[in-house]
Amino acid sequence: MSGQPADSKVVILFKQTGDAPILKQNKIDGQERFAKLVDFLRKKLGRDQVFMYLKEAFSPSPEERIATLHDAFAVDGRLVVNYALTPAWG
Amino acid sequence: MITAEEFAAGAQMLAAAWGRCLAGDTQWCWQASTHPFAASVRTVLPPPLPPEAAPAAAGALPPTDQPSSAQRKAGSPGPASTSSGDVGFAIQEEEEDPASVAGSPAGSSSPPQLLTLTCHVAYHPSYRVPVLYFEAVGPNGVPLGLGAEHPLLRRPFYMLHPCQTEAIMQLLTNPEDDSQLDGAPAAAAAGSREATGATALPPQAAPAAHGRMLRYLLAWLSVAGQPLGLSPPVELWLQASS
Repeated sequence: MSGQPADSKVVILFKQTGDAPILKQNKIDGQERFAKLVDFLRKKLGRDQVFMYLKEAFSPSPEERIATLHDAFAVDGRLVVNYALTPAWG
Repeated sequence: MITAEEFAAGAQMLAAAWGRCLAGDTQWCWQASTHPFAASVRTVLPPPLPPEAAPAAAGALPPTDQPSSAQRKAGSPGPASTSSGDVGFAIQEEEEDPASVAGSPAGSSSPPQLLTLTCHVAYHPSYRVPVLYFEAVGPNGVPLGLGAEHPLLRRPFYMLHPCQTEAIMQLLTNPEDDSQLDGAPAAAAAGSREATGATALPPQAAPAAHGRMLRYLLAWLSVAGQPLGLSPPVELWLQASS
C-alpha cells in the first residue's frame, strides 16, 4: 500500500444503523487491525456484540489493517464504518 | 434472498475469484448435488496428516479441476449423489493451532497440533440464503467439539443458522443514501422461519447480475466466515467490485 509513516492516523466515521446510538468520528493508527475498532465500539456501546461493516457491503476480517481499508474505501479522507446492534450469530 | 441458480452462479464465481486471488492455501471447490439441504452435512474427511506435515496446506474435495500441490492433502470422494441441482461447495483448510483445545494430549516437545477445518457452503432452499457448515478435526481424525472433545456420531457438522442471515444481508445490501452499489437487490423480507415467496430482483443484464451475486456471496462469507477466520480478504472484494 502507500508508504505511510508507521504512526499515521486515519479518520474513522462510525455510522449507526437502525437504533444504534450515534458516535462522533475518531482517529486511529492505520497500522492497527480492524479488531481494534470492534473492541472500541463494543466498549463504547457497552455491548458484547456489535456488527460492523463497510457500506460497500462487507464485514472486514478483524485481521485487516485499518490502513488497507482506509486506502481502498475512504471517502473525503474518512473511512465510514457502519455498525448495528443486530446479533450476527448466536 | 437469492435463488438456487443465483447461489450456484455466485458460488462458482467465488471459487474462481478466490483461486485467482489467493493461490495455494485455502481453496474452494464447487460441487453440484441433487441432494436436498441436509446432504451437505455429509462429507468424507481426508486422511489425517502426521503432525510434521506442512501447516496451512489445503485440499479440495473432490478433486474437480483443482490444481494440486505437494502441500495439499489428497481429496476424498465427496457425497455419493452428484448431479446438477442443489448446491454446495467445500473448503478444507488446515490451521496450526497450538492452543487447540483438544486432540491427543501433546507433550511439550511435539509440534503444534494441526486442525483440519472443513467448511461447506450450501444453499438453504427454505430460507433461500447460503448456510455455512463447518467441522474441525484434530490430527488423528478425531472430531473436535467446540470447547470439548468428544466423538460425534456420523461426524455432524456445526452450522451457522440461516435465520440471522437474512437480516444481516439486508443490512449489507440495503442501499445507503450515497451507496455506490449498482443493482443492489431489493430488501427482502426480514428473517422469518417460514419460507416466503421469492422477491423478484430488479431486471439486470446477466453480467451485472452475476457480479452482484459474487458480491453477495463475498458479503455473506465476510460475515459467516469471521468466527472461523475465513474472511475473504479485501483484495478479493476490490477485484469483485471493479
